[in-house]
Amino acid sequence: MPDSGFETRRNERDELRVRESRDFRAYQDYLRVTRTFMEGPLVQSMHKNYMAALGGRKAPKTQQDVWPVVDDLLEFQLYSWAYRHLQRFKYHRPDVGIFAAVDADAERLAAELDAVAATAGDRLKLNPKIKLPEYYRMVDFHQHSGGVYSDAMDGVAYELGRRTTTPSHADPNLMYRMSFQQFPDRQYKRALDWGTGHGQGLLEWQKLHPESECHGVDISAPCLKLAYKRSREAGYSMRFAQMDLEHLEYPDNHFDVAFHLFMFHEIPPVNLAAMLKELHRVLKPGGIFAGPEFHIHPTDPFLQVIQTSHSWTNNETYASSWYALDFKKAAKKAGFSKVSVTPFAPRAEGKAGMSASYWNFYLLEK
Amino acid sequence: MARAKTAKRKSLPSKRRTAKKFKAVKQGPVTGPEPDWIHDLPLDNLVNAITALAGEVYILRERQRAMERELNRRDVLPLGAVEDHAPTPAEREVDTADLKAFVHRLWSEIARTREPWANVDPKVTKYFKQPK
Repeated sequence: MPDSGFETRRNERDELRVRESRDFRAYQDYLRVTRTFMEGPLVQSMHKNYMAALGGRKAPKTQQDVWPVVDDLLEFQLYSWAYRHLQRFKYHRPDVGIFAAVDADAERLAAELDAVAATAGDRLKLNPKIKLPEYYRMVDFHQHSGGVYSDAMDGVAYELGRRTTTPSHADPNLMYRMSFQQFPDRQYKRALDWGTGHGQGLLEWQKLHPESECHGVDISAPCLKLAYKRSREAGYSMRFAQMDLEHLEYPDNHFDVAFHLFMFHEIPPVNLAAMLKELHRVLKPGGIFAGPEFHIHPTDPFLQVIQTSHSWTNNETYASSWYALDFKKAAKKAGFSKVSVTPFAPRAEGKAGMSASYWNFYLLEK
Repeated sequence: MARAKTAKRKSLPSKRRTAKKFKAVKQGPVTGPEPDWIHDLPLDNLVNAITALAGEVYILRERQRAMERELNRRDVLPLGAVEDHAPTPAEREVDTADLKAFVHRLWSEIARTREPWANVDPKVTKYFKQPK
C-alpha cells in the first residue's frame, strides 16, 4: 500500500539520528584520529624499522619471508592490536561505543524505522523467510557482533560506524562520488546498488543520475529498512529488496548499470563467481557493473603483509582469498565481454604518504 | 586455506624464523579466545604513555582553574563555588552513576577476559577455496 497523507510524508523527511552525547562524540573523534595515526605514521615507522631489521640485506620478495621480520617489530604488534581493539572500542565500549549509543535510543529509532517501513508498499520488499548463506553467518564482519543482520538496530549501528572508518572521515559519501566519476558518461535508465547497506551510495547515485530508476539490494533487513528511510528523507522514490546476491529476483536484461563499494573482499571467491554470473544475467547487453575494491599492493610484499593482516585482525575473513582470486578470469567466465582492472588511489585527506591500503577500480561490461 | 609454514630460509634476519608460532602475525581467522597482539612493548613505553596522559590531565586541570577564576572575575561564579558545590540528592545520584560508569570503563579493560566479542566459525576455511 503506498503511503498516503501529508502527515506521514512530512515525518518521513525528518532525519533519523542517534542521540549522540558529547562524550560519545569526543570519544569517537579520538578513535578516528588514533586510527589515522596508526595507518599513517605508525606504518611509516614500521617500514623504517623493517628496513633496519634487514640490516642492508636484500628485501624479501614474498609475504612468507616478510612475516617473520615484521612479527618482531613492536610497531607491527601495536598496529595489529590497534586494528583489532580500536574497532572493538568503536562498537563495544560501555557508554561511549556505538552499540551503547544505539541501544540507549533503540526503542525510538526502531519505532521511526517501522513507521516508515509500514508505508513502503512494494518499494521495500523484505523476506523474513530468506535463508542467510552459511558463509555470511559464519563471520561477524568488521567485528560487528552478530553481523549486520541479527538485530533491528544493526543498520543504524553500521551507518554510524562510518564515522571512524577510513577512507573518508570528513565526508563518508565522498568515496561514492569518486567511484561514480569513473563510470562511462551515459544515461542510465535503471540502476542497481549491489549490496546497498545503508543506501547512501544509491542516494549519491540518484543525485548524479536523476534519470535513473534506482534499486537497492541487500541480504540484511535492518540495513534495508534504514536505506529505505534515508531514501524517503531525501524525497526519492527508490526500491529496496532483500535477496541473496547469488539469486537475484530480477528479470534477465533488466539493469543498465550495477555498482558496489568494497564488497568483493567480504565474499568467498566461489560465491563471488556465482554472483558475477547472476549480475551478468540481470544486466542489459552493454550494461556495466563497476566499483572500487581493496587489494594487496601489486609488488611490495611488506605492504601486502600489512594489508593481508586485516583479514584476521578485523574479521575481514574472506579478504585473503579475494586477493588470490583471478578476477578477470572469473568475470570472463561469468560472461562479461569487457573486464578492466585499474589502480584507484584517491587518498583520504590528511593521510600519510605510505599506506598499506591499495585499491583497484573494476569495470565490467556485458 | 592451509596454514602457511613459517619460513626457514637462513638468509632471513629474524631470530624467530624457525619458531612454530608467530607473536603478532596471524595467518588465519581468530576463531578461539582472543589472542595477545603485543609482546615486545617495553615497560618504559607504558610509563611514557601514562606520564604523557598525566600531562594531558594537568593541562585540563589548569584550564579548568583558569576558567573558574575568569568566571569569578566576571561575577558569574563566586570564588570557591565549585569547591563548595553541594549537589542535590538527584544530582548526587547522577554523579554516583557517572562515577560507577567511569570506573567500569576503566576496569572492564584491566579485567578483560579472552572471550571474543565477535565470532568467526572455525569451519569458515572451507570458503577460502578458489572457483574452478
